[in-house]
Amino acid sequence: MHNIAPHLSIRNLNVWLDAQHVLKDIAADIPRRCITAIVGPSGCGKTTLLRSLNRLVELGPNVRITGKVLFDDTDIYHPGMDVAEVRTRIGLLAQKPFPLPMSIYDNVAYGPRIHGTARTGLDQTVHSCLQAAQLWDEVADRLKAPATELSAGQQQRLCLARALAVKPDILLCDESTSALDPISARGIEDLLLTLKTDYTIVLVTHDLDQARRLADYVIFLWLGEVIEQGPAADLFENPAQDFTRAYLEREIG
Amino acid sequence: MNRRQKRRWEEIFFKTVMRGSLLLIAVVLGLIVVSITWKGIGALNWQMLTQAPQGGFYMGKEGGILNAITGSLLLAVGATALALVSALPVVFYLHAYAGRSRWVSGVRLALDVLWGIPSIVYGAFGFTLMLLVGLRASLLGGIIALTLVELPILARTMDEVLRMVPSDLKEATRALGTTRLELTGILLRQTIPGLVTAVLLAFGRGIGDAASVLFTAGYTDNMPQSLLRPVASLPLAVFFQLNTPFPEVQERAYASALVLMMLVLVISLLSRLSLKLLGKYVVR
Repeated sequence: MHNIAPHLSIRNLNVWLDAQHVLKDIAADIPRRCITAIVGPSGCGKTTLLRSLNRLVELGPNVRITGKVLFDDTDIYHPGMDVAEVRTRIGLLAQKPFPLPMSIYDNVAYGPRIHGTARTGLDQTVHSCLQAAQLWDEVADRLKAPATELSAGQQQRLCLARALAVKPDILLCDESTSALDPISARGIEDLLLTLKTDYTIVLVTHDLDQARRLADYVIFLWLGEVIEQGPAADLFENPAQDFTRAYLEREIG
Repeated sequence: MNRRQKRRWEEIFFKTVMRGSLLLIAVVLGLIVVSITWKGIGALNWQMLTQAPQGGFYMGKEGGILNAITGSLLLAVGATALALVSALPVVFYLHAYAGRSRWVSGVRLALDVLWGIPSIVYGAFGFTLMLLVGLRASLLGGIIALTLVELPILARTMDEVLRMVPSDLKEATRALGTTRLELTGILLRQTIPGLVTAVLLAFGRGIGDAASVLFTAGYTDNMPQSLLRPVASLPLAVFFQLNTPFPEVQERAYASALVLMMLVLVISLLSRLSLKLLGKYVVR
């Protein structure tokens, strides 16, 4: 699984929010078509790291970033890089579902419309993305209804369909199940497992059990530094660092 | 008195104060509405609404205030349109492009100060401008002065509407690979009911303003004819008729005020309706 080139390579990444040095010299590889989980205690920089991977982090005030994130050997922080293009290829499923102020159909169709893809067969794209997000059967008869009429779990699947419609290569998930009820959360987890055959998925979670269920590869972050990274089986069963073992056994954190 | 009783009495006391102030506002508003209606309803008739003043109108003879009704509508529509065209880019710049800098709070401060300037000052300023370019008191002059009055109101209310947009929505939109301009489109969809309310609010403020149009639009008994000719307006119609010594003309002043009030009422109702109709897709 790791004999192919990584999809994302993070090199010497440093991020400061205001004066706070949130990410310190991060170096990590994200393998292709796997689920990579970023774990660690609250405030360790998991979300900041995730949001650095498609440059959403720079939308905040007073952000300073140094280092590189290589996406198929292209640095996404290169000055000539088109940010919109980066975010098109590296999508996000946020912590809380947030539909766009439009109908269910238009939410999914929005990405293809602005990017000018799927000009013909927009209906087909919407249909296949809603189906991939396993929402189609529940909304097929009310595609024109406002997206806000859906339940939180349905909204999160709509957000997933919306992200997929842009046809990204990589999907970032920022604790995407934490605002959902257990059944909806399991639904999203199952979806991510099916999606990893086509997408590289990076997922932030503070739920170690979820990381065990989903992850192929794990990055353990502590106070803004990578303590350990590796295949999930190795890291969970046989961590190289005592520090990692202590966190996994919930002695620290 | 123990702690529990004290907290209960505090609650009752402040609730009473709040209800009292609500009642005070309602009573004052009610008094204004009732007195205008009571004094003006007798003079309000079809002729009043469908004719311009005839000879001797200000001494109680034939005619109506159609010149002022159309004049006011033209002034307010023109000024609101111009103010909207100038305020929209400012507001969307502040929310989709500018981020959170000192420059942004500077713009807000400037708009707040402009909001506080009395409209007579805008009238005088507009008049000096008109003298510079050789424009006489006219519909165009009135529209420009009124635009200056409405612009800060419109920009700041729309700014507040856009501030209510959750940052999660902006982020969700940007995460789809949108440009800032496309983000503006989403912001517009999310805030359209609020923006329409802001526009109608500015319109209501504009149509009721007398001081800014006093020098700039002038006054005439004729119906509005051209952008470069003077026009009448309802607030000035009220003012001039109230200043005559004739009770029947003063009664017509109240009738004119009643018409103005009705126009503003209709606008407020429209804004309520727009909140309902346009709010269908808004994410709360």
